[in-house]
Amino acid sequence: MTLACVVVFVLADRGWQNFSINHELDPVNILTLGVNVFIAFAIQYYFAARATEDRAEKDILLDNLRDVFEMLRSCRDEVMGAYGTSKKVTKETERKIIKLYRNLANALDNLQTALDMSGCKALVKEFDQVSKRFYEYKIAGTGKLPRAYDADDIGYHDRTYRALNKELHSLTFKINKHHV
Amino acid sequence: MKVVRIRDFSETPGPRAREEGPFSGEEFLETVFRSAYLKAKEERETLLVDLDGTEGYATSFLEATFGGLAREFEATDILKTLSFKSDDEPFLINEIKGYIFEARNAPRK
Repeated sequence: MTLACVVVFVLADRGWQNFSINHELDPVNILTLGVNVFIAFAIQYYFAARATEDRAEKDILLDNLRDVFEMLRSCRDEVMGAYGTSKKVTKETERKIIKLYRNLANALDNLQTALDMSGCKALVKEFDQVSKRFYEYKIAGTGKLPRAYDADDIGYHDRTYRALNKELHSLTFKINKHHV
Repeated sequence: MKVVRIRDFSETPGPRAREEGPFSGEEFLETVFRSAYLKAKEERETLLVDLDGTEGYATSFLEATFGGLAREFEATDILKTLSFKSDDEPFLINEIKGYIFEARNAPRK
């Protein structure tokens, strides 16, 4: 490309196709060129730095979401594990389930706080639906404790799990695509 | 301002009803919470419910306590009288308000 430009310039200088090159240097044009080059570089560095910052922010949010997904699965596994084992959920299991739901609630709270402080702040309104789904999920998991889960309870628990999981996936993709 | 600390009742709040186990929401409502609420309301004071310092709450306990109170008294009065502190699990506050709102249409005792 550069070679082609050089060849065209040399040929133009020699009068090829009636081209000509004015060898006088116009200070105004040189200044304009300098300013344009400076602006181009400045904009490039500004956008590059900003894109890196946005990506880092999104990575923090996505890490928080990863924690939430992990807690969400832990709650589901513990409730599933308690199904069909006895007529009553043992005290130990009950405490474990309550603790896991607390961890999930706090992971969601962390995510909400981080979202509110980030460039993706506009997505905080999405959190109402996530909270609603979380409360349904908690009711499904701890609403009858210490009574044992029956098939209906597990079915409802699974539905609320999938509803919350869906909301969180939707939020994940929105964060990833969000333009600050 | 008056304060009710749930950890003073139990650090491991239990189930919904007395017959399901110790430290139930029903027991808490009957032995501690209802009288504290009525006293605060009568004296026109705020009753701060401190939810911290326990191992966590099952929905059953929270619904029996706060939903139970809202089935006996006006939800708007309850929300005017109560305030909440939950540093351990901030999500609890909205959850509790949800139970109070849901219970407000239930028939009163």
